Amino acid sequence: MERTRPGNWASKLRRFVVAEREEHCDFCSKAIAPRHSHLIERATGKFFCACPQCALVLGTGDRFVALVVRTHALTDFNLTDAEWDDFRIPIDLAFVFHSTPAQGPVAIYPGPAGATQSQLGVAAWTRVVAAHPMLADLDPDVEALLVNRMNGAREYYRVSIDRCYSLIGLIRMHWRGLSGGAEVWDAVHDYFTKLRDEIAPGDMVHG
Amino acid sequence: MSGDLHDDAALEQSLIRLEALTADLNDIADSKGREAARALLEVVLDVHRLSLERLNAIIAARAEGPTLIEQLAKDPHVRAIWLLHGLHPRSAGERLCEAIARMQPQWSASGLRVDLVSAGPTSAIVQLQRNGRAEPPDQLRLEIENILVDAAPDLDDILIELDMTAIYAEPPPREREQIDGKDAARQLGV
Repeated sequence: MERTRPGNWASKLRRFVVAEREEHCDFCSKAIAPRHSHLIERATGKFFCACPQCALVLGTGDRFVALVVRTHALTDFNLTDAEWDDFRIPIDLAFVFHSTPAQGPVAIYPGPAGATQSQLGVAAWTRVVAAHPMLADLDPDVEALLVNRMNGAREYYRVSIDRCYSLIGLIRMHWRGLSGGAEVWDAVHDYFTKLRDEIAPGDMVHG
Repeated sequence: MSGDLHDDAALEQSLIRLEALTADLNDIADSKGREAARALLEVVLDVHRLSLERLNAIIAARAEGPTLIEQLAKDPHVRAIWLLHGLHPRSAGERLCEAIARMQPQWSASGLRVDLVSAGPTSAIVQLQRNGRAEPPDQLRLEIENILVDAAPDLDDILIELDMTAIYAEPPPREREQIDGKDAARQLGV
């Protein structure tokens, strides 16, 4: 589908121009490698880039939590259509996690502006956790249940939250027009293909 | 101030193309080619930004400068260039507030209240609340998202919080008048 109106074009161009500049630790301003640690501030959900020393010192306190990159496929796991409908998410792609700022479970799903956050009913989430105990110990703010039910898929992953936001970023980059367009859904398909390829057999978690 | 419709449509097409070309540049596998394109863009944008900053400073120094800048901010072509260079006289938060205030009566009539929760240099949070039992149709949500993105295309993210639990109730007319009156008094420092 041809794009019918511009999106956040100014942000995209400016981010491309600054993308490959040197990055610095958000705490001590020291130059850091392209692959570096991230801390999440629990009260706000904000991400911070950190040098190894700051990640070590601050990542074990109460204010910040260190992001540990992980991806587990939840095999033998399925949300029933009724459980999914209870989440009241308008598209078949979302991630769900416990948010400290929101003081409860939230779902984030993609759209043309970036992401929509929807507070989940506690009762609906409690029912799902009771039926699927492997979700009970999702680390608040840093781990999420990633759900892909697009085009009949029934894929579920337990992932670190950076994986989810990278999916949102990918969608924002490729979204065209009101419905997203074919290109964005091809990109989403490629994202899940790569995600599956990255998962080692030992990272399969049986439901 | 606005150009004619033909010019405005051409600008929109240019911005769509700019967005698509940026995505293409991001996808270039050859890191040397990508870096060369990035460096070229950086220099071109820097030269234009410095020039625009001087131009804005000259306008602002004139007696009629503030009025002229207000007029220019309404021109879609000037607005686009100011947004690209981070030189728009209104912050993203102010632009989002203006867009919401402009559209709020229409959205309220469709059962939604839209509020700007926060706005920073790279992102903003907007909350949607229902004022009725019915779910807002997806088309309306998309329309809201598109209007917000149009108002602040320089933000990386506009996070939309859809509060499915709270029901926003319109206060009865008399109470609303009192609330408006208090707000007006507060604004006037009374």
